[in-house]
Amino acid sequence: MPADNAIVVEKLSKLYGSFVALAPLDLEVKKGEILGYLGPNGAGKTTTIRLLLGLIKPSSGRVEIFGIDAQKDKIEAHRRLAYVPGEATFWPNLTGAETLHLLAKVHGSIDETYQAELIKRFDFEPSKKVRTYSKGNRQKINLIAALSTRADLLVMDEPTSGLDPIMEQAFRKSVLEAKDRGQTVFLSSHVLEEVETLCDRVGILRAGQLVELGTLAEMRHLSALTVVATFDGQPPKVDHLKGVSAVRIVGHQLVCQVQGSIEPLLKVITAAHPKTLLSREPSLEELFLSLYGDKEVQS
Amino acid sequence: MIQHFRSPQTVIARFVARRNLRSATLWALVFGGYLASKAIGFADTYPTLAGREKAVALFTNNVGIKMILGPIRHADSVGGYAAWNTFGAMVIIGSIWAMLLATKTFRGEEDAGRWELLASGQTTARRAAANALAGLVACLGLFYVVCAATFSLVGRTHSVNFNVGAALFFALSVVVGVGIFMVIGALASQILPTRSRAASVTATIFGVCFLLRGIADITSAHWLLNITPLGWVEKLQPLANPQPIWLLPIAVFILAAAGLTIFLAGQRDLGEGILADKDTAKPHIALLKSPLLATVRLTRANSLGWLASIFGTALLYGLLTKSAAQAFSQSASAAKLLNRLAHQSQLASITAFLGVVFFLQMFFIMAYAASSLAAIRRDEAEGYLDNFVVRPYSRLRWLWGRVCLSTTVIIIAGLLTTLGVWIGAASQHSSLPIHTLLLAGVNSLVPAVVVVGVGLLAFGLRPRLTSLLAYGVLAWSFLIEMVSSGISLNHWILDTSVLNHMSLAPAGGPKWSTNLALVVLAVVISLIGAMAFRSRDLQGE
Repeated sequence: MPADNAIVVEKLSKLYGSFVALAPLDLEVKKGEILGYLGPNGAGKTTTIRLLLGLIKPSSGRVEIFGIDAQKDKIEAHRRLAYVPGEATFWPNLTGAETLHLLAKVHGSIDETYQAELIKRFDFEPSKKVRTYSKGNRQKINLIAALSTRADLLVMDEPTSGLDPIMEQAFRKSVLEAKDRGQTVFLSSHVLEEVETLCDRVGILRAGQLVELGTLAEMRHLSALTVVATFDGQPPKVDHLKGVSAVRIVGHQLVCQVQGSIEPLLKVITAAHPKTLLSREPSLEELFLSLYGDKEVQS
Repeated sequence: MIQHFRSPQTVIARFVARRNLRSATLWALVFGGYLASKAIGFADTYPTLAGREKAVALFTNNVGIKMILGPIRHADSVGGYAAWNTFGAMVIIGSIWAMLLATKTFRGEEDAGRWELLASGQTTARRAAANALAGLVACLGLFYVVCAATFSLVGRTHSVNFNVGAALFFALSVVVGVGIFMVIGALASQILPTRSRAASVTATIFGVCFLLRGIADITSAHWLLNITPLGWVEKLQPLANPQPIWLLPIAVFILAAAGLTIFLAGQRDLGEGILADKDTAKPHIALLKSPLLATVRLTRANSLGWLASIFGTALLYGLLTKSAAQAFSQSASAAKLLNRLAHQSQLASITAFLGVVFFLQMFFIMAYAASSLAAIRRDEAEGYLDNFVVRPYSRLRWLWGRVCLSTTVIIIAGLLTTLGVWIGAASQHSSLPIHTLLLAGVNSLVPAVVVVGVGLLAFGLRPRLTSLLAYGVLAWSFLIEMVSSGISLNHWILDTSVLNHMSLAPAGGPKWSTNLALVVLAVVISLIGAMAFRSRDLQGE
């Protein structure tokens, strides 16, 4: 394993009978990198994470975390990481402070100053009993417990589940701080804007298979350019042009997507004397939707 | 196209009923078997009226037996004897089942957050509570039907001979007794904010009612029977001198408690109790240094409750030693039991009685062992375990910690049994030497160790069967011992009960080689289970 990798996954798979939860997966995450891990429900994201953590055993393949075999030497691997689940079960009669204390003791080390800072940043009330917390507040326990360990690797599965927009900003700040300190982050999320903002690379999973892996710039070739033009009168007809799709005409405005050469579309639009013309690259959401097609979007 | 389902307003009732019908049927069948064993056993052991009168005379003035089972009424008939011998035990066991069921349904589901989903349907808090009660009543209805059918079958047996009407009334008496503590559990679940508190308070109320009934039976304060629900139940006197008039206060009580439950359900917020709980607390971290210590903290109330019950029961038995042993030495039924379990029918009365006491305590200790295994599995199923094993803490370390904790409580339970019996019996100047009782206490731990072994094996290989198999060992052994006390069973069947391999110490010396074999077997299957757990996937519910 190259010394600059935090995670190396080789031919890792998980089958439940004949159901393929995760097809053989090869993946490397560099130290200090934030990798976004995307996919719809049931695509295999949580299965991958549970395999990384050794909570379930693989049908084939192996995982190394900082060169440590994560299945054979779980304790050593876990010493180097902290995990944030999307939802955790905590003991209802312990307070938030007691829960954080217990989790810190089990991990073995925390940065107490940073923990105090995180409690303030996430506006967390630690003296309350866990059973009185909302889902978002319970999620803050997960985040504070994991981030305050300053672990070399943060494995996060839907970490902002239940957080309000202000706390999401606090989360993003904390993740970027972690990256600045050289920590690695494996971030599974449904919040595409979050992934787009934070991640250096993105992996997209579909039906248990990693279908795309790369930087956003590398992945933008996958999807069409969005073109928005407004006219004084009726917009021209463009849906017959090669590569043009998703044509929508709203009043005097034309919105469409174009894949491949934009020249034929531009010729038609300029001939109709547009008032404004805007084109932009696809967002991660558009990339994601383009990979999953109409059927899954409708579902 | 929208599909409309039939009666969405009653979905909670059907859901609650469906989840609990199996246990209702199971307990009713157990009670039917229990009645059959006692009735047929009595008829076979005392075939003549003279023999029966003599047997009954032994118990008539026995304070200890009166305290536990109530006074004997018309016990010279087989039905009367069987009702006296089984009615109290059925009401006690049934009430414990009903209390757990009610607090699980009303408060456990709410604690787990599942009730919110049900309550968000086409219902209100009060209607949801009424639905849940209706579901529980449906379970009790089935419980009644199965009890009535099995009791009627027992009554039709030639040697037993009581009519269907008597059987139906007997079944009704058991059901209303159970129903009382079901509604108390439901009511406590509205008042208190957590299931454990609701269950503790319900159990305390049950204990007080039992004590009042016992005091009323053994002293001249018989009027106490009129103010305690268990007294009303006792006054029904099924199969002896039926007094259906006492159904009236019971019905009023049940309806009032059910009505109050429904009313209070609408008076409180979801997740809260009528009595508010402290939502904040200063951190107490002394027992939060490791998962094991945290488990000690989180389970200490439960463990102490078990230990207190075990000690209390042992002490009570100890206090009764002198009076009960006297009746015991002259009882043909006891001789039969001793002969089967200790292969001796002629034993000193105290030794024989204490042998049976330690034997009964084995059930308690096995029940704790099964509950602790169920708790281990629950921690995995509900995700508490994930909090530890995603950190540098191994599964095996967690598991061995839990097992050591359970084993420690089991050992303390054995010692407290010894201590309780010794203190109680010594106060009556009827005790055996402490070292003899200590050996009996050690002997009484072995079946619990087997329960732990079977539970761990299931936990490793088929985790979802952990509770079923751990409690299954207990229930099966209980059933076999119960049935075999009245009816002769094939030795292959007897051998499937772990209790059948146990000595009736101190009535017989502990069979150390058998005990050792059972412990070794338990350790081996525990290791197999632990190894399987180490390498398997963690599994939810």
